[in-house]
Amino acid sequence: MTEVEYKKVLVAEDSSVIQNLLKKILLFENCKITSAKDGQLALDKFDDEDFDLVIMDVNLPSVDGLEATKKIRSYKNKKGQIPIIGISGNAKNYPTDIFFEAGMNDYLQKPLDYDQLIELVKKYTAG
Amino acid sequence: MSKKILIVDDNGINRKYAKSVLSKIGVDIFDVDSGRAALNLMGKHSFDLVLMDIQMPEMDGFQTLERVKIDYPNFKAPILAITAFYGDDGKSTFLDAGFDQFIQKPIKPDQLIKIVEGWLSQEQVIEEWTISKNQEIIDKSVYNEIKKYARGEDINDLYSEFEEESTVFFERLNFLITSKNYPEILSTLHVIKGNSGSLGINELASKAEKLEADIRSNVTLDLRERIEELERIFGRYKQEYKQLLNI
Repeated sequence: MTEVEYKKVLVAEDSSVIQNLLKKILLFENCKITSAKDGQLALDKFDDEDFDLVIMDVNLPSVDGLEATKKIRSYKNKKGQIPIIGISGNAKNYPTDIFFEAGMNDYLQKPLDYDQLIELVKKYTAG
Repeated sequence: MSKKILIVDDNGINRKYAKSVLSKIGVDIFDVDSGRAALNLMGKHSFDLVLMDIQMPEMDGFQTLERVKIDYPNFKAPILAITAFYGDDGKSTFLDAGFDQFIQKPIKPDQLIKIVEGWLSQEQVIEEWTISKNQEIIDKSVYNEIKKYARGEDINDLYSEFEEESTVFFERLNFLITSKNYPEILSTLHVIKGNSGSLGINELASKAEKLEADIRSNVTLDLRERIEELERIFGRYKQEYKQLLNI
């Protein structure tokens, strides 16, 4: 039997409903989820471990998702190049540029579109 | 209320032409010079029709249309492609991509008016979430979508968790309105909106969204009553969800 290779995904999201929703769905995409409830915790966990993907809510306590993304992008090593997918309930109130300017590779809007979520996760964890 | 038309074209002369022609039929015209700008504006206004140029720098008309489908899955207004060029595949390329009509440039004023009026006369329901009174508190299509991806997982606990989490949020809201703490009210409504929307509790999501938007634009009249209204919807959720999901 071949060993299943898990993709390690860091999910920074303050709502436990959305956290668990993502966990349940991404489980079947062979993702192993590490959760963080605010931006600072996400950055701490990011430093401690190596991940394949970050899913980052924009509205986070302590350090918001855009700031946390900029922080990650400031790393000059390979860690700093990790794909980051933003999640925002307010994408419509923001100019879309700010997600990309902060360094996110892509973004999802709430309410979540699950087809799109899977599509993006597959895209950024491929290979 | 007059209809809103969005013109997307990087060429200023083209935009000016379309504006001057369409101003004759009493519509509100918005014009932008890029796909990005169009996407931003679509988040701020409901449009009744979009006229989109195809050849644009950075994001062309096809890419912009793709992004509209992703960012605004409920965007219902027809989007028409306008271009001077098309390849050997002809018009079908545009229709296959999802444009509602292909218009070849140059176009005479009376033709443009005829096309636009034709589209605007069709009844369009443009609403983020369409809600009817008899609708079930949980949109089953969203529930099924989660179920599809979560496969054998028990997803019903998400709904119980939503009940617990939201109970706390409503307690917090009641406290926050007394102290008129608008930033915190906004962020709480924001989470309620995102959670309920993602779980398909559409009525709650849309009412929370509306309230959030109003507070953002400093409309705080009847705040307490409106939060009570949200609580009533949440109350209905608490009563009905277990039966609905056979928990």
